[in-house]
Amino acid sequence: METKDINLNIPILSKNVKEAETNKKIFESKRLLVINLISSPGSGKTTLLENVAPMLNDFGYPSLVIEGDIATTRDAERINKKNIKCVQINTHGICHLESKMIRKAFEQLHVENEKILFIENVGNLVCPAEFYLGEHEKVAILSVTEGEDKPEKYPLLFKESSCVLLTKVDLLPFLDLSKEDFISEIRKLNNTSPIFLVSKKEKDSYYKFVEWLIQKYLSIFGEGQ
Amino acid sequence: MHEASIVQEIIDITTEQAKQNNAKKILEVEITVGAGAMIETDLLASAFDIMKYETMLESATLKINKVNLKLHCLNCGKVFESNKMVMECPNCHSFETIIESGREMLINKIIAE
Repeated sequence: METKDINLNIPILSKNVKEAETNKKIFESKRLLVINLISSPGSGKTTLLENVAPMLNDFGYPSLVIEGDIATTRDAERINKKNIKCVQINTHGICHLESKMIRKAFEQLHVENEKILFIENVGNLVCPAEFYLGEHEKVAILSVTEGEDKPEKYPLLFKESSCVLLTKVDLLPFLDLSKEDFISEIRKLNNTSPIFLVSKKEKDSYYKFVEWLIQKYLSIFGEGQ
Repeated sequence: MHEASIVQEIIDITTEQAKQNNAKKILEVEITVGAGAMIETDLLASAFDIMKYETMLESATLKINKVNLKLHCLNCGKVFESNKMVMECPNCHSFETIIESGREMLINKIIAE
């Protein structure tokens, strides 16, 4: 039988990336700024949302949340208590969220006047950074109790994040570390993204991050409705 | 991390192309994988050997061309290559590096009958 060489030169994009690009189109058609929150388990992602989402609402930027965990709906329950629409994904063992999971979850959310969608990824500093979900911004969260060496140990996430949140800074006096220790370590990986120092004990500490989010929204969608 | 998904894409794309060229069977698939694609080529080859069954690629061999990651350091100006995904300059140890090339994943060609 005649064999033939067929030259193709076709790029291979994983199914996840293709689905992510579809997600992005859907998000933009609803004028939603989408933020992918990535950190270790226990860094304070849910606490951050519990504090920031109501503040954004007060500023006229209501938000929605997609929660990702291996098991339980505990995080979604916490968010729902703040009267923020939230859907929980349980991955049953998969260590990161993928685009198709996000689309299925998003279809369960009734979007009205919301402007920001937060995706709280599975607690993991490795895999979530590698899986694009269709978000506008990837945000890394690091708590001071994790140690200042984590950015260098998990370089991809910190290098590619649009901003970094350093949480639980009220605990710094109990550690032999200063905020400068963390900032200099993060800056080794990322010279440009803003670093926000926050603590749930100090509500004002969230303002700069809230301002950053609003600025991001305006830069993409402008001022109009 | 997502080698099986990549293999599925390879199978889908090459099957479609073979059909468009009136071929019934694929004998070889040649691909190029950059070090920056973060794909373990051994895992990719193993996944291919399993996933090709009952497809047009059942008898196909997978030929993988590996391409190095090429970076330059904004701190000291060094241009360097790596066969792994790296971000640190080997010269000055800065992480202020830019990837010039080597993140691609491409299906080069198929041999079919």
